[in-house]
Amino acid sequence: MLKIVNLHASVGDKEILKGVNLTVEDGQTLALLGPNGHGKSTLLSVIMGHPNFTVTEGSIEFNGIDLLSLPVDQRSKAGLFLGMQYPSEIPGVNSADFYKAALNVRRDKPMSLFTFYNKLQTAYKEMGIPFEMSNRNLNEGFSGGEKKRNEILQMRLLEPSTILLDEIDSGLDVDAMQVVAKAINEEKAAGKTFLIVSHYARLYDMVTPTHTAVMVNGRIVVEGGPDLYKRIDTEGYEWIKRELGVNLEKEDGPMNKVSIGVCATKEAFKK
Amino acid sequence: MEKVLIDEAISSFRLDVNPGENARVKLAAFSTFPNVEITVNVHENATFEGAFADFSGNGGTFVLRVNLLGKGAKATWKSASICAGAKKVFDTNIIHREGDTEGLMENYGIVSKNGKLHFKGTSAIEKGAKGAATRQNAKIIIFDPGCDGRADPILKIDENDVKASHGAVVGKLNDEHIFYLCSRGLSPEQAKRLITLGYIRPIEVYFDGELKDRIEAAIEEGL
Repeated sequence: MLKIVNLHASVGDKEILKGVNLTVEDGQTLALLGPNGHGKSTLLSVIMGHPNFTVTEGSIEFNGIDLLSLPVDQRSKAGLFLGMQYPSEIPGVNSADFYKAALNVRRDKPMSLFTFYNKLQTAYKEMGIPFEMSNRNLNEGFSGGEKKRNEILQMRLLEPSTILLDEIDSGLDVDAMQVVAKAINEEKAAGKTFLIVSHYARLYDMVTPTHTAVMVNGRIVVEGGPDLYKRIDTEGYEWIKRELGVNLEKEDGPMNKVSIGVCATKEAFKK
Repeated sequence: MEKVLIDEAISSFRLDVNPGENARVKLAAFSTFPNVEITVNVHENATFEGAFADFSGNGGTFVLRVNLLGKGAKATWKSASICAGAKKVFDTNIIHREGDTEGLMENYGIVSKNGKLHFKGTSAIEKGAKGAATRQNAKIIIFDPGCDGRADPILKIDENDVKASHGAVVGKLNDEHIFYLCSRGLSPEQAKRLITLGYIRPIEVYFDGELKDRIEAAIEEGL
């Protein structure tokens, strides 16, 4: 269980999360929606422990552990996984070497090379990525869609219990979307917990969330079942103001305020 | 012709690569930094390939001067240095004295423990060396706040119709990269090590057998 209570987080002087309360029970699939720049990506980054954000108040409990007291690697080993919106390209780090290291840090004894390569080959096949790419540098020169598939591939390899996906569907073509949705559904069937950020109903329709939460102005303003994401898909966010009396705070300040965790590309187009 | 020199065996010398010949010089410093000056004259259609793997604990100035003297002469130079607490200067020069010559130098380094590392690279194309092509790359990763890393790429061009370029990067490890690797379970130390290995390891391909193993071990130890 992931339990977030009154979470406040800032980047520099700017507070982005302003008292988030959200609980994701084991086995749930939560769709997290909200307008651009209102804190969805930040929330996911803060859960994983991104160093750019400072938590100023509140708590995150993960399966009874105080998550905020753990360094990033320990959060991963505790069973968390963040599929990133913009996975880093890391020159000089061979993908297969990295996956092997990431698998072995969560084991007492290193995995045999034979077992590792079998596992790796299966994962590549499932994700429809040519196995030769395992010999390339991590994400280097990968297309947007390849990077996203590569995130899901790591989700499969590392077998986390709770998976955060940040706009994993952006940059995916229809076929890739099917592959990703299939992988998510298989993990769901195995009892995994998901917190999925997306702007589009298309992915949600494919993975059938059990719950929806909407984030506005750095807080969760409304929660509900799958109907809620469907309503937003057809009506947008305007009704939230009308029915809940929540005014959408406009992003102020110049573009250089855009930071990690904000969808910068979309911000740039939002003139 | 191949020359492999280790530690104290690296001394100042002058080498002539005769027309049409190939020469390879491989240097490895584990304990003693070579405070030496090496001059290589590459004649017509001759090729010089040099590689230098440096893990020594002390410092000094290493000077390499490659003169491309005949048409069709080529030179490549690659170095990788781990500079932990020492003060090292790599003064690398490739001088195109004749046209249709090619030069490439790549210097990679890691500075830690208040060390100072200076890559000074000069690529010169002299008057009359039409059609010369020269390139230099320098990259330095700074590990701790007290370190000093400098890259001075110098291009001296005295002729038209030539190709000349350089790239220089000095900086600390990217926090975003470290976060990415840590988010998959690697400790910050493991993440730094993996990124740095990828950066310094390419020098290994220029060495073989036992020396290659020794270099690999020195890299592991140095990180």
